[in-house]
Amino acid sequence: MTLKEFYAHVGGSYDEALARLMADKLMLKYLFKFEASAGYSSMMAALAGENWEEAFRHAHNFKGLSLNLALGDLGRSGSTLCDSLRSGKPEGDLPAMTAAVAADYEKVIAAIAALRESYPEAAT
Amino acid sequence: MRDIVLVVDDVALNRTILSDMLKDEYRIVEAADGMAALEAMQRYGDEIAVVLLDLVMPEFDGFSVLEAMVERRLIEHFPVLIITGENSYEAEARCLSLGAADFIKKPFNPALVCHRVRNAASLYTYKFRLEEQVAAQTVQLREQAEALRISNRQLREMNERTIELLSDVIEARNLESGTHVHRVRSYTRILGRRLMETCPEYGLTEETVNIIALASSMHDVGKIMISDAILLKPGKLTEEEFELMKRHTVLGCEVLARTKYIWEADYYEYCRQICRHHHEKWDGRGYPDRLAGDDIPISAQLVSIADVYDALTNERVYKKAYSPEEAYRMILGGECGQFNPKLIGCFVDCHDEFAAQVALAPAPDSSKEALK
Repeated sequence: MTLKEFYAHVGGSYDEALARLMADKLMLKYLFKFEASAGYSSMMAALAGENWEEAFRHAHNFKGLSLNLALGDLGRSGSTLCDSLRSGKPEGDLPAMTAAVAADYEKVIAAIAALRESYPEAAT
Repeated sequence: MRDIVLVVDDVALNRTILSDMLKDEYRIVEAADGMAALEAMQRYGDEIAVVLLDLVMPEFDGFSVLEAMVERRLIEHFPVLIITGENSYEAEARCLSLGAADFIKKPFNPALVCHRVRNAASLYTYKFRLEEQVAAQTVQLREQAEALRISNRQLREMNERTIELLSDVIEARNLESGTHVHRVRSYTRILGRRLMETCPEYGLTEETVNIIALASSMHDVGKIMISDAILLKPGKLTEEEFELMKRHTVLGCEVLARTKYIWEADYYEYCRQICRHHHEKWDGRGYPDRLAGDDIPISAQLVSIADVYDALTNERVYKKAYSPEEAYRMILGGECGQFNPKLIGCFVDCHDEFAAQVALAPAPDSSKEALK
């Protein structure tokens, strides 16, 4: 999978990512660190535990990172989830929003795994 | 050297992205939470050019960092650029009102972030340079003011010593007794203070009254230019001799003019007025210029009464000493020429103080001063 194919696959834009991240090499570097930095499992744990304040903080970081890496669909579903938690308790259909984020996240993680195989020198 | 960018974000990847953007131009110090950020500010101090601050962090968040910076007055020292996924107007307004220099929303454009960091850094560098210059100039100004104050005081002391010296010269020639000079100074001061209180139109102050009192010692300095034959003549002067004697007023000004370079302007001017005009009379019948009314400088008017009163209350070769009460009556009765009615009013108010000075004085000596 090339970077262009990756971005098309996750509903983002390679051109936007390049403008923001400046070089393929840096793009790969950040994408390969995404899973470790995004705090996805902490966010899900906070949501499951109904710890709304902590869930908001994690969702906020998660959204910011997804947007900055130009991860299209995940940036959008992450923003929706984050906004629904802003007031201190969830607003709207939380299970649906959480499911959307989970689906987009799985898609991104799987695609990043594919990228690792295509760019083994960057993955180390 | 302010060359550090302090990157404060709890997400490691965000710190990495920002560091990668800026590491070619700046040294990067990272802090993973608010407390670590404040510690880094403490530790690196003036080496920090810019702080990039995330808002949403666990425990001690970006707002708390800003508030702590305000409280510790650090906000004046470091430009803080907020970089956040927050896009609410309230968050932006709150940060800017706390003193943040800029507010950058995620997703950010790295080139713009670099520009904003550079702008903030150079703006603050300029601000600090200005502040340093102002501080340096303030120190310099303070030193100059202190130096001026000292030289001013030295000049005043020099003026006072010059007056003392010339008083001694007059006394050494036995033209006046030293006690006469000091009594005239006291009377002038008493009368001057009263006039200052009752007649503000003369614009006298405590300071000018003191200078006038000091300058009063110079009233007869011109007599050092008068020949002994006239000055020390035991009998009554002829009309011609008296005309020569009257010149001591003009000659006194010449003595002063020769030493003008050592006087402060106000001292010189009061000495000159007193020397020249202390024999003028309110009705214009005095000398040397036959000035009348308030054309006579107020300094000379004050000394004139003081001089006449002292001459009356002390023995002279041609007359006995009058009592304070007799002198008071004679001055009020116009027997010694006309004086400013306002000054006569002050003299009436202060006569007890004048009389007390007479009582303090030693027995009149055989001064050859004459009431002329």
